Amino acid sequence: MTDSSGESALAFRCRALSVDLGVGEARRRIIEDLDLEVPRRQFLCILGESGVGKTTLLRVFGGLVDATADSVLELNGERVVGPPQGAVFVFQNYAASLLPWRTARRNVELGLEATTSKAARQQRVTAALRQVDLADHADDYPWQLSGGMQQRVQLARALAVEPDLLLMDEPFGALDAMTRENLQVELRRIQQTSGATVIFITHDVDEAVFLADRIIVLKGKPASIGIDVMSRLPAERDQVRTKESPEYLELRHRVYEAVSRRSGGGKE
Amino acid sequence: MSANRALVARPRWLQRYRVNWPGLAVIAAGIALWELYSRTLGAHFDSIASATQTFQALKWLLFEGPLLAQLLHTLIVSLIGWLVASTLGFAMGLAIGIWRPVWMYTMASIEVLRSIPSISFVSIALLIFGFSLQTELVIVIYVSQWPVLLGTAGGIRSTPGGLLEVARSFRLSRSATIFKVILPAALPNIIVGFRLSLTLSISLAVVAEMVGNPAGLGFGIVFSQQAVQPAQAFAYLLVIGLLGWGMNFILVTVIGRVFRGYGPLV
Repeated sequence: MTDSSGESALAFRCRALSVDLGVGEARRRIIEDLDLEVPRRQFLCILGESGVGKTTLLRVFGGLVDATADSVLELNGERVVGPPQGAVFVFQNYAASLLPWRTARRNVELGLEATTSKAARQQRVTAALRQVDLADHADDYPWQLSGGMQQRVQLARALAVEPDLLLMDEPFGALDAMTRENLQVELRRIQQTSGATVIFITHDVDEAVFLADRIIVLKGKPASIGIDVMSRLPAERDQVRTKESPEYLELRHRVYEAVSRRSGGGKE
Repeated sequence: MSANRALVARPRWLQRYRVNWPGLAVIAAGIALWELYSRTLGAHFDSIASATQTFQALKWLLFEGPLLAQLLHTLIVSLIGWLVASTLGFAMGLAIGIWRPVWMYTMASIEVLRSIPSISFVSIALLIFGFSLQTELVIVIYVSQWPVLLGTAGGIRSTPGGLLEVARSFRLSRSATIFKVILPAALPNIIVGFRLSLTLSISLAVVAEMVGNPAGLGFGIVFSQQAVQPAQAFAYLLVIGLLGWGMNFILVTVIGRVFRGYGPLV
């Protein structure tokens, strides 16, 4: 917030980002020399085959994994060393990410307990639960909720801390198709109203095209950016009309080609 | 509907317990068979008491004999032993689980120590403390600390990585991570430790009384055996069984009430 006006539009950036994983002999470069700038309020989807390093990249962004020493990684103009203030994860495995001994409400409170007074906390938690349409289930335990509802609790927990940056690692990957499509619409709506920047990992082209303002395809070993395209879809999306529009089909075509060219043998 | 209304009249915590009629029927049948056997095929064995003789002996021990004082002794010793062992075990398990160096330096010794059969320590304790209450307490505490120690250390070490990443992502402090994430996640393991430890403390109290400290139910059963009073020995056996069952039942009930949020976990 104290950034100069030129940088205030920029939420997140990395320069010459490389990541090595493994120990000793097994140490390998996973991501090489990646440059990326993400403006505030952008919904960025990162696509790529499984094993390409999408999740690793997201974990580096969130400070859970270290990049190489000469990499530059900044959130709101501050270097990322460990999990940065203002960035929060939504993990794919909701069952392993919610505290099973806490109710939905108490789970959502988790990120606020150190910083917020009890009264203010209650208000924010209630608001977050309402945002994901779970106000009626505030006192249920995770095991009493369906998979989709559990993932919405995780989303509410992230929203409650009013993050600048939401890091989402295939959050809908384990859900059935119908729940998934509903949550895509909700997420898009929530992102528009909350104004958070979102970096969303998926391996589903349709999901990426439906959700994103911008799509990046990771490719190669070590991984780098294959294509980087902006979406021309309107800000408001719905499952029927958006997916019938020529812009949607065109973008889908481009992204599919970029993804499949890589897996189609790779000899050129 | 009317059945539901009848349930409402009971206190809420009692509603969880229904009488297990089939289970009781098996016990009743077992006692009937025991009685039948001791009156027919087993009639010429003086050393086998019938069910009725056992119950008569039990009645005598309870109202005229030393049973009540002995029961109290064993109950108090095993409870105190269990509490001390649980506290010690929990504290050590916590240190071992949380600080990696402590784990590395201690685990080998713990693996060796705990694999020595617990009964062997009775002789050592006797050598050091003689026939005394001290011997009994030391044996009970030493043996029943292990399940809590291992449950706590193991539970902490096996905290799901996903939950730890959530704690990191929300920038929880070290102490908040321990109290809000790691300990609650380890709780089911710790509770299993408490339960195993309780069972052990009762068994070891009885064993110690049989050989190391002439008091309590353990001494009662040995005394009956040496006095060739099979009915009394059987009665003591019954009381020891009921003591173990009762204490475990109370513990499980308390745990179930305190940790309701764990639902199917505990």
